[in-house]
Amino acid sequence: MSSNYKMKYNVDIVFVIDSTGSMSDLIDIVKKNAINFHTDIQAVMSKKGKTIQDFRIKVIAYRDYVADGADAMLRTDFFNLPEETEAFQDTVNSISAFGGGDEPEDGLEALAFAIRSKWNTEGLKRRQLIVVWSDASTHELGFGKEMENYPTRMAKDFNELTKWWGDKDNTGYMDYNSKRLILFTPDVPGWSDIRNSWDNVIHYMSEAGRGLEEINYNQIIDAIAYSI
Amino acid sequence: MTGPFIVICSEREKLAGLGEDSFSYSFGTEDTGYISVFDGCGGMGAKKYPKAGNRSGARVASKLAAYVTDNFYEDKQFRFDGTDCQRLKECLTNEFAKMRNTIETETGAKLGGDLFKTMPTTASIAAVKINGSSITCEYFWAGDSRGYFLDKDGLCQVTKDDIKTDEDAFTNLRSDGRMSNVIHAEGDFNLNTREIDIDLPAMVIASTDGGFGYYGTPMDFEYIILSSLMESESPEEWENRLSELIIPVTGDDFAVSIAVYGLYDIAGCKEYFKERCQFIKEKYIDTAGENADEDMLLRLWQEYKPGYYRR
Repeated sequence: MSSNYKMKYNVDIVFVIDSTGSMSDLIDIVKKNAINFHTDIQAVMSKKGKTIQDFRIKVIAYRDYVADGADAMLRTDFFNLPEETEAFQDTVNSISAFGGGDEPEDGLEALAFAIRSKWNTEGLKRRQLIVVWSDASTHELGFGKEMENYPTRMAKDFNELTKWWGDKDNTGYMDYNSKRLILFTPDVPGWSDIRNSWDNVIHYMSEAGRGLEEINYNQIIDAIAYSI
Repeated sequence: MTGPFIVICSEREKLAGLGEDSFSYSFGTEDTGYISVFDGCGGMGAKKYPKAGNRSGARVASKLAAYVTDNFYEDKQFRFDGTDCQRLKECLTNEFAKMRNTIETETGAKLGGDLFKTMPTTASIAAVKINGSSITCEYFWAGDSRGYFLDKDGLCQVTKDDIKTDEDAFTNLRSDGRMSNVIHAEGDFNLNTREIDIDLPAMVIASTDGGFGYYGTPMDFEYIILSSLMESESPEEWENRLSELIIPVTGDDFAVSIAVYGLYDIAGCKEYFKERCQFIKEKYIDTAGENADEDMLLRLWQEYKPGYYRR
């Protein structure tokens, strides 16, 4: 039975992208590489001898409910890659960087949506990854709750969001062994709180106000592949 | 009596020159020796260090841990007096801190979170003292690398994985549980230890997860150790054959070290374990066949499990 038993991974990734004005460089990187993303991840995985069976990806682009109204949150369903690469690429191409208002953005609301994604629960080995890119801190949850389009079923505060993420005693909305949160953000309130108190997190700390210029595409691919 | 009489160390880097597993072993003229394997954690330790030839923290860590363990043995620090674990941990802590100070630079992205560690590695070390017809074996470990012995009653896992969820060896093959503890340069890690006496003949085994972690069941790991032995005429052949059986299955680098005590050549070793190998093949491997479903594998595991955890 040994030689016939090959572990395969089912991988779900949610890209959470701050799409305010200062993020245009990063969004351009994602746009430019969207069509090759599946192949590039699979190539790194293959070198490590790991095979991806089902690979799905979804995108959440966020700004600020108070400043940006109806443009505050874009959410897609999961795309199956490579079959739906074109649709994934079209979606990514539709994202443009603008708005945002004040410096903190509504990143925690976007993260809450990501945590409650419809994750793949099939297969023996699974990975459920959330990858966040932002160059800004976050508002407290509920900052924009007076706005008409603010979501009704949202975590009311950071403590509730922490429960949604879960820990080994309280599963939350994601599988404890499968989930990973990769943050490409500055070391600022919101993201630093998560780094200091949540399990299964890796934080690539960019310098606040300098965008994400020191992070390149290969680093992103490596960070994701090593987390699978 | 001195020994062991056969030592094999199978290892392979999945990516040439970038491997994160290491091993070391030594057996002196006195009746003591050790085997060890280390698995640098590529995810947690992916950060590269220009001052270390742009090697990853994971690779630096496993090589350094092997070096420290070997020095510990050569300095005759395995005393079997109940203090070995504490002193070995101090050596690892000090040397990892020194290495971090040497290779860490102020440039590059800062990393944090519980999935990041500076120079993380697992460890499985077995120090052995021979007492006539038995051995005293001190196992030391951190993370999910394992220490075992294998005698006429089969494979027995002595170490307990440092994972965040309490799962047995069968379940963990599927759930891929997150490690709760690894050796790293910040120093806040545990080095676990357990000492047992083992009647001879027996094999003492240390393996990284690349060796045992990609099969359908723990029985497969015992079977590939024994079947590779049965197909070999020398320790070198055994070493190569074991690698040949692991490579098509593993998704990782691997290091497996085996020291055989109480048997004096490969022919004697084959003869002694022939019956056990046949038993494992018939009762588990052949019964499962090539396309066993999960229920069948679980049922076979339940039969095998009491022996696997008998100590």
